[in-house]
Parts: sequence; structure tokens; C-alpha cells
Amino acid sequence: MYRKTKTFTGISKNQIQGYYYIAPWLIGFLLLTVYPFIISLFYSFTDFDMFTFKFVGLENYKEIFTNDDTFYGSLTITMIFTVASVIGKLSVALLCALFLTRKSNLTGFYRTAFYLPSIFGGSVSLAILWKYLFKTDGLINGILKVFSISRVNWLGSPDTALFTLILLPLWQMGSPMVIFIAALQTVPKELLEAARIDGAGIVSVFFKVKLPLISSVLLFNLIQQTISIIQFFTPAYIITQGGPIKATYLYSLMIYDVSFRNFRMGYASALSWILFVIMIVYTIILFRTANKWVFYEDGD
Amino acid sequence: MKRRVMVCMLAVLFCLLFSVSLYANAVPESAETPVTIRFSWWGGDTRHQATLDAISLYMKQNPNVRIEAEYSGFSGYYQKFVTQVVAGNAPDVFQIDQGWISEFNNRGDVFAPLNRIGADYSKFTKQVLDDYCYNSEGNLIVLPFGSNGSVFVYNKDTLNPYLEKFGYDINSISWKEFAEFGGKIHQDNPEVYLLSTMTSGYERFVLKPILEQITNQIGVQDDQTLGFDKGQLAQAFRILIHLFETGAAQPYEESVIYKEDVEDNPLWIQGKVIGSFIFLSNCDRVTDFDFNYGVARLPLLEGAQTSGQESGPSLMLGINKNSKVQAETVKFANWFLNDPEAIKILGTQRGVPVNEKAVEILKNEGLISPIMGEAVAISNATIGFKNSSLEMNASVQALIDEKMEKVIYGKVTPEEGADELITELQKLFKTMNP
Repeated sequence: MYRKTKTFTGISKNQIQGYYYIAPWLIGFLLLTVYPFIISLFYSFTDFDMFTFKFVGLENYKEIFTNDDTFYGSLTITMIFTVASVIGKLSVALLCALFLTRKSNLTGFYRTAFYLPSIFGGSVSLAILWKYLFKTDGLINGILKVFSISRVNWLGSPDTALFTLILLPLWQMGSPMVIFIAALQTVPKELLEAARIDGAGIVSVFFKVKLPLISSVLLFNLIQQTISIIQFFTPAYIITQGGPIKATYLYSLMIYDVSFRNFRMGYASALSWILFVIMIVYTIILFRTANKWVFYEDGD
Repeated sequence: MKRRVMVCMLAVLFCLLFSVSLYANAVPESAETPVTIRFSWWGGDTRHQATLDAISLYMKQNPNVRIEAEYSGFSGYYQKFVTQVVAGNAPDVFQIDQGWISEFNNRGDVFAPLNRIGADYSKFTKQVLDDYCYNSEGNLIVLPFGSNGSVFVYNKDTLNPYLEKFGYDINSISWKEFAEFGGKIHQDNPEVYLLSTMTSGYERFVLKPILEQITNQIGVQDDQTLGFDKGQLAQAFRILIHLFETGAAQPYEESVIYKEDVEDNPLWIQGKVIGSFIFLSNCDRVTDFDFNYGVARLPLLEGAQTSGQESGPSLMLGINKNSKVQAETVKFANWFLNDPEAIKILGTQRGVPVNEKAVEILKNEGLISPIMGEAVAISNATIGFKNSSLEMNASVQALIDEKMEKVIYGKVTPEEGADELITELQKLFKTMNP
């Protein structure tokens, strides 16, 4: 029975009951997300080395921007990796989604097959598998040999190592693909028929009808995948460890080394907050420009 | 009313649980009190198996003791251990690299003073303990598992025909001859290389000894001064890359993915990589294939007054100062390092024991493999400088590896690489406690 009585704080007893139900999640959120979030900001103004700390003000940030070549190098590589992976992943996901919205007896099978890689996430076993696939004597070079293509040193060459890592998120495009499928299925068939009747070809139908109508979903996938990929760590750590000659030294690896190898947790916290600010700015820009290219059916 | 009863019951239950936990903590360890000890180490499969067998025997002999084994490969062990120490969750007893000790000593109170908690080190070589195991306050903070040294292990079946054909002596060879010889082998058979090693192996077993042979001192001193100048470092880089230029060494970009384990390299398995520079504690592991193997000392530069060979204990045992089961942990550590049965099971998985009694047992039982015996003899005959703690610092090693790779890949010249490394090392030292 609904109890309208309020406590002395003005919150109704029913609301308090609601808080009890979400308490386990709320406690975890406060302890494992909010607290580290706030404490890392504090640490970024100290020289915390995991044992002692001293307040140093903006020294960490100053050193990062004026005296750390590795920061700029790693940030550049991470941006290249992120842009290439996000564009590649979403393009492949959309292409597969377009293919899988066509009626076929094998649609279910193909959807499962394309979605399966994304279930593995950033697992260690997947990273080890990827490493063995792309070794000099691995399966990929074995396939190339069948076509008389000379083997490529995928992981040992600084020219190809980053590309090899980029292929991994591309392969795991199942999640955005499923979201695109759902979005494509909401495109009104009358509009598609009308376009075809007016003489629009497949390409025009896609760019002039389908893409605008799924642009809000595209925006969502763009933001979500960028946030996910920019924090790429486990596969890079297992497969290349940032090498060769830092060709794959992603930002997350740099933070890891600075904190756990160099004992500079304060400095690593500052690096983390810089990445956070970059993501915030990127998201704000996307939202601000969204009204120019994102179509919402209700006109907003 | 129901809610009040529930609250009262919960309060009573809480008090009961709290008092039980207090009681549990108040009860002193006795022989019958169940005890759990956490023991962490890194290594390969053979070391893991030997250690697990030893642990299993100890638990049979001490039924009240349960030992939780936390083992892994080398990669990531240091970072994990650092996190555990900071979180106050370090294992009770742990394996640690000799180079990491000062890092932890400078920052926090991690190691229990073994000389005050009943550790038995009576059979250990006093010189080794004095040189490597005491802190500045005179406390014995670690005990060495075994002694190590850097040697060149080679496939005799593949190498001997070439030695005869080209007339070299692998036991007495200079770096120049080594590169020439390797080049001739590779020309004779383009699939064969005289050398490959782990990524860090090129830094630790090639670049470092070459540099020490040039300068006759260690490269990075504990007071943050460098034992070399730009010219000497550039010379060392040139000698290193000459190994690749002649074809003596497997192309770096091919071997780079075998970062820690040369025995994973297919060319090593096939006998097409003839030799590798390794720590002698890994001899048995890398020679576990169907070939005959030999051991040689490191090549020397003409006029070198030191071998540059790393010899000394590398793997140490430490006990957590904050362990809640310290008494039982010390008892286990004493058994692990001194008990004849443990010694026989563990063999030379962590190098040749520094414990004199252990060496005697292993020799009597024939448990020191011929190749290990050979490696120890060579290492003892060519002892180089004692490493400084700073040189073994993980950040310093990573920086040297990075610049070395840039030179090997041809991204910078040896002179530019030397300049960069010296500059970056100075920058790195400023961020460290002196």
C-alpha cells in the first residue's frame, strides 16, 4: 500500500524504500566510481608515489605540457588509433547492418556470427589469440602465402603494428551493428518505396533517406565507441606492450607505466584528467554540431 | 513491532560476529591453528611445477598449513606486486628481483627483518648476504634463492660444423669475431642465425656488457652519475647493431614479439637460431629440446678489463613485514630454502643455490644438469661488476630499451641515440628520490 507519510527530511518513506533497493549499486557507485574520480583529481595536484605525497599544485600539468615528449607522442598515436578504429568500426558495422536487414533465411545465423566477436570484449585470451594470428609464422601470413603474397611482419614492424591493433576493434563491431540494425528497421518503408519510385538508386536511398533517419543512433554510437576505444588497454598491453619503438604506445599504456612502473601516481592522475577533459570537449563539440547533421523525427 | 524485533536480532547477530572475529584474532598461532600463507613468484612452467611440488610436500608435512600459490609469468608481476604492497595486500612471502629492492626500500616499509624473526641463513654465503641482502639499517631484508650469471647458450649440433668450417673458437671470441662468424653462418644458410635473444636480453646481455667492457665501470651508478659518455655509448650501439647488419643476429623485428621467452621462438625450436644470451637460471628451460647444447662466456672487446658479465643473486625471497602469519611464514621460508627435500625438488629452477649445503645436496644427487654446471663454472670464472640498484630500476631499464630499439630500427643514428638516452636519463633522475 502506498505510504504518503514523510520523514523529517521531507523524503517519503516510499522513496526511502526505493533507496534501499538501489543501495547495493549506489554504494558500489560511490565507492568504486565517484570516490576514485574525486581522489584522482586531488592526487593530480600532488607527487603521490603510492606511499607518500606532497601537494605540488600545477607542477604535474606543467611538466606534462612543457617537458614530456612521450605525452605528445602517445596522444598522437592514440588519436590516430581512435579515429581510424571508430570510423572503421562504425563503417563496417553499418555495412553489415545494411546487409543483415535484408530478408534471408540465413539472417539469424549471420547476425549471430557477426555479433560473437564482440562478446569477447577486451579479454586476455583474445589478445593472445590475435598475437598468434599475426605472428610472422601465424595464420594470417599462412593465408597470404597461399596467394603467393610474401609474409608481413605485422607485429614487429612499426609501420604495421598499429594497423594490426586497429583491426581488433573492427572485428568486434557486433555491438554497434546490432544497434544499427534496430535503427534501420525503424525507417518507414513508405519513404524507401517513395524514393525508389522517384528513381533513387541504392546509394542515393542510403545517403538521402536511411542515413539521415538513423543519424541520432549514429551519434550515439560515435560517442560510445570513441569513449570505449580511447581507453583501449588490454590487447595493446598483451600484444605489443606499446612497441615496437612505441609505435603502439597508447595513452592508457602510458598511464599504466607512469603509475605502476615509475611510481608516479600523481602524475598519472594528471594524465588521466587531461584525457577526461579531451573527451568532454569532444562530446560537447559533437552535441553542439549535432543539430546540423542529426535528424530527430520529432523535429528537436 | 516486527521491525523492532528484526533490528534487535540483527544487532545481536552483529555483536556475536564481531566478538567471534576479535576472539579469532586474539588466539595466538599454535601448531594446530589452521594457517593460510600466500606465496607469490614468477617463472616458467618448470619452475611453477617444481615450486608447487615443494609446496604440496610442505602442506603434507604441516596439515594445519595451507599455502596459496600466486604465480605468473614475469610480465606484469612487478606492477601487480607494487599494487598489492600499496593496497596492504602483499603476499606473506614473495619472490622479488634484486633490482627492485631499493625501490621499495626507498618508499615504504615492506620487508620483514629476517635476522630478527628467526630466519635461518646460517648456510648462506656471507659475502653474498653482505653485498645484496641488508638494508642501510643493518637488517637482513631478503634472502637469495640462487645465484645467477649471464652466459651464451648454444646449439652444439648446429654450431660445431660451422666452428670447424670457419675456424672460430666460441669459448674465446671477440664481439667483432662474433659478428663476422655469425655473418658467415647466415651467408652459408640464410635461414640460420648465430644469435637471437629476448628484447630485454639485447640490453642486459649485449649492450650493457659491451658498455662495461668499454668503460670498465657500471653504466648507471647509485648516485645518479653515468659511467659512460656519449662517444662510448655510441660505440656500444655501433657494436650492437653490427650484429644485425652482418646477419649474425635474427632481425630484431622478427624476434621482438618473443619478449621474454626465447624458447617460444620457432627458429630456436628448429635449431635455426644457434645461440642466445640468457641468465643461467634459465638454461634448463631453454635447452629442453632434442639438441645437444653448450655454454660459452660472453664475447669480449679487445683490451677489455672486465667481462661485463652479470653475476650475483637475481631472485630473492622476502617476507611481508605486515604478514599476519609471520611466524608460520618464516618456518615455511626456512624449510623452502634449507630443507634437503625441498632443495631436491626445486633443483636449480632459481639458479644455483647460494646455500652451500643446498649445492652439496644437488651435486650429490646429480641434480645440477651438466649444462647448468658448465654455466655456473663459466659465470664464476668471469665475474663482472655488481649491478647498482639504480641501473636495475624498471624505469631506467625501460628507457634504455626504448632508445636501444630506436637505434636498432634505424630511426636514429648511434650518436643521436646516445645523446637522447643520456638526456632522458638525466631527466628521469630528476623525478626520482636521490
